[in-house]
Order: sequence, then structure tokens, then C-alpha cells
Amino acid sequence: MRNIDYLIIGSGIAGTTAAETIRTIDQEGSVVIVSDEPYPLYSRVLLPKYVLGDIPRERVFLRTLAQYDKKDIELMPGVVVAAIRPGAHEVELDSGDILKYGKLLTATGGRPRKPDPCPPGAHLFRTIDDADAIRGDLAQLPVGSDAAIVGGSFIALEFAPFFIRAGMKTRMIFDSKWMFEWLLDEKSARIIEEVLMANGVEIIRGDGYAALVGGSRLVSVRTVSGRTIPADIAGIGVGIQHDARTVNEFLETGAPDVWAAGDATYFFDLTVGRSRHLGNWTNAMEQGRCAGQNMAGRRTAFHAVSSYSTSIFGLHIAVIGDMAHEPGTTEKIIGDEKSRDFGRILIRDGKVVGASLLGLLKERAEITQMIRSGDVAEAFRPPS
Amino acid sequence: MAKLRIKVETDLCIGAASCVTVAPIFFALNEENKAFVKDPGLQEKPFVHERVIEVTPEQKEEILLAAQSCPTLAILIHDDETGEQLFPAP
Repeated sequence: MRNIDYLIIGSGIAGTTAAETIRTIDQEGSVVIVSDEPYPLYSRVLLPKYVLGDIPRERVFLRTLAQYDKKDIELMPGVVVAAIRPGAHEVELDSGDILKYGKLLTATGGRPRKPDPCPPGAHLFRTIDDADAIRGDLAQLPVGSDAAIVGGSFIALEFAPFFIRAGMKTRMIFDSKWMFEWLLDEKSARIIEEVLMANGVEIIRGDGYAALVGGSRLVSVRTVSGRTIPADIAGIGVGIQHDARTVNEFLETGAPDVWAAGDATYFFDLTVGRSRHLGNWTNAMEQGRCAGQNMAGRRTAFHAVSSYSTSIFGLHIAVIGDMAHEPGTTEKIIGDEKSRDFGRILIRDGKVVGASLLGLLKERAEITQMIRSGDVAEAFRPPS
Repeated sequence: MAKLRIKVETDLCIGAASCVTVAPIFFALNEENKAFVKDPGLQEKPFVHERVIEVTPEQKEEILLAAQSCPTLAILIHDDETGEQLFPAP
């Protein structure tokens, strides 16, 4: 049995930022991070560049073990939590060891949904171990191999350059009507799809996977309609499962002395006035900081404008704020599809609440600021 | 007041803009989706990726947080007077 002042489960950006924030406020209390991964903090954002071979593996890590020591933060890597008992302020590990905490943060992120069966050659993509496995497989498959991408959202998008650069015949399948159907309008999605097709990706819409076929090695993907997509390798991006905890604007879970931060939260978004889930690096970092402040006694509401940012074959994509079509939401389009500078701005209660932007880099900062401040530029006022 | 040398390594910058989120007075994205450093005392142009700026302790804290927030560790901060690298901590 160990007594720990501040116990953090999860060594990703939310957990690490929380630990470092606590330490800037409280230099005395013990701060311990437990993680089921054996690594110090690494950048999930840099994993695609590592898979492509654009950066060496060491560059993916954002902290060294020495940096934890220097801040008097204890990292316990490769440790699995078996149970949390908030009433007793206890966490039980797989080993049977009990950690008694003063304050607890769960920052456990999530795990990718895994098809069953999932034969070797079918790859998830979330961790550095996944990245290592993808690199290994790409290195041993010849140019002209068949590659399948299962899914139509952010992770599926990441796989496209891996397979195209490796000279593979690449097909993407997803059950929705267009890519990012849950987030983007059809016009924006078509622009993204056209960029993928121009770079050699065949896209099959409205037909998701039924099964990954193969015994000792993946052979094909069978779709819901019964099509067989040949696949020597597959990239799987069909969502995340997370034990998301609902938190208030102070990232409190409601259990005494338990906070949550990062991908594993349904947090109350003050900017848009509703609870949402968001799997995004910057959001996780900001939540980690906010949770750390609250845990160390500085009551701070979480108030940050979320944004996804990525680029694919030269097309920059940003999604800022809240894209949900709640009642009373109107939209304004800027730019045009042909130039691939195309933006959709969502307005509710007289305020800009969200935007999806393809290209339009100059406008991004201005729109982000509008969402943050709640001001509405004249150009975005709905017609009266 | 401290003098900080702030540099954005543009080949590492992916335009995630967390620095802009944390310290919008000091960082912005240019037309190539790369971060550049702003000096609040000057006009916005020229877009430079490395600057020496005199900052208050609060501003220094904000800039260090911005560097820390970068998911690709593309922001380097040095104390311009002593030459010491402040972030990433060596």
C-alpha cells in the first residue's frame, strides 16, 4: 500500500501536462503517473512522419526519463490499473498492489476499435508500437501490393500516404455516404476525396467492412455488400472505444477527488454550452493543464476552442469549434470548391460556433478568434 | 524583463497551431501553415521564424507554455543574454 498525493492514470499529453502543471504549483506533494505503455510521453501527432520515415524514432518522444526525475514526477510505465475505488481513494493495480491517493486524474485516452477477427497484416494506428508494426510490414511488402483502408475519417486518412508512397494499389472503403460524414458537409468531403483519388486512392463509399479475411495473414476485406477487396495489408480506422467520464467545466467527475482529462472525457464546453467528446491533441493538453490546476487547488474552468488540423497530399484541413447542427444553427460558405479553398462557418445565437476550412489558411486565425471571443464579424451575421 | 530568442523550426512545424492557441500574441500561422514569431511591439510583417524579444516574467511563462504545447517540439527558446537553452530542456 502506497500513499500518493496526486495520482495520474495515463502518460499521454493530458496526463503528463497535468503532472507538470501540478508540479509548478505544488513543489512538495508526491506526483505519480501510471501508464500501461512502457514509454515516456511521445507525440501521437508525429507518428505519421515516423511511419513515412521522415523523422527518426527518437524524435517522436517528447520527454526523456531524466526530465521526469528533474521535476520530481514519478513515472510508473508498463503498469495496468485493475480497479478504481473512489470511496476508499484507492487504485488497485494488476499486480495486486494498492495505491492510495489524495487526488486522482484519469487520462486514459482510448483504444482503437479492433475488428474480430483481425489477422496479421491488418493494422490499427494509435500507438508507437502500431507505428513500428506498420513500418515493418511496409518494408517487407513489394511495390504493387494491394492495400485496403477501412474507415472514412481521420485515421483512415493517415494511412493513404503510407500505402501510396509504398507504391501500393490502394482502396478505401467505408459505410458512410462520404468521408467524415459525421463531421463535414458533402462538398468539403468531396474535395478531400478528389485529392485522394488524384493521388491514386480508389474510394468505395457506402459499403463498410463485414470481415477481414485471412488465417495466418490477411488476404482480403469482405464488404457488407459482399465485395471482396484484395488486401496484402490493411489500415483500420473505425473509431475509438474509450471509457469516457462525464466531467463538469472544472473537469471534476463527481466522484470525490477524481478528475478526468483528454480523449476520455465528455466535457462541458463553455464556448458552445453543451457536453461533448473530442479526441484531439491540443484539447487533451489544455484539459491536462486545467485539471492539474484544479487538482492543485486553483479552481479554473476549462474554456478552450478546440481544433483539428491535418493535411493530406498538400490539402490543409482544419475543423474548429463545434460542428454539431444543433437547432438554430445557420451556416455561411466561404471560398469555392474548384480552388479547394472552401469553408463552412456555423453560426448559432448570433455567434460563430464552428468552422470547417479546407485551405483558407489566412482566415483560420480570424475565425478561431471569433469563436473564442463570441464576437460575430459583420460578414457572418445571418441576414435579418 | 528577460530577452528570449524564440525560434520555430519550420521543417518540424505541421501547423497544429497549439502555440497560437496558448500564446496568440507571440505566434501565428503564415500562408504556408507554418508558425512564425510575432513581436507585440512591432507590426506583423515581416514573417520571421526566429526573433529576440524582451518579455515580462508572465510573457516568458506563456511563451514557454506555448513551446511545451507543440506536438512536434518545433519551438526552441533560448535566454538571449546567457545563451542557455530553456526549451526543450537539454
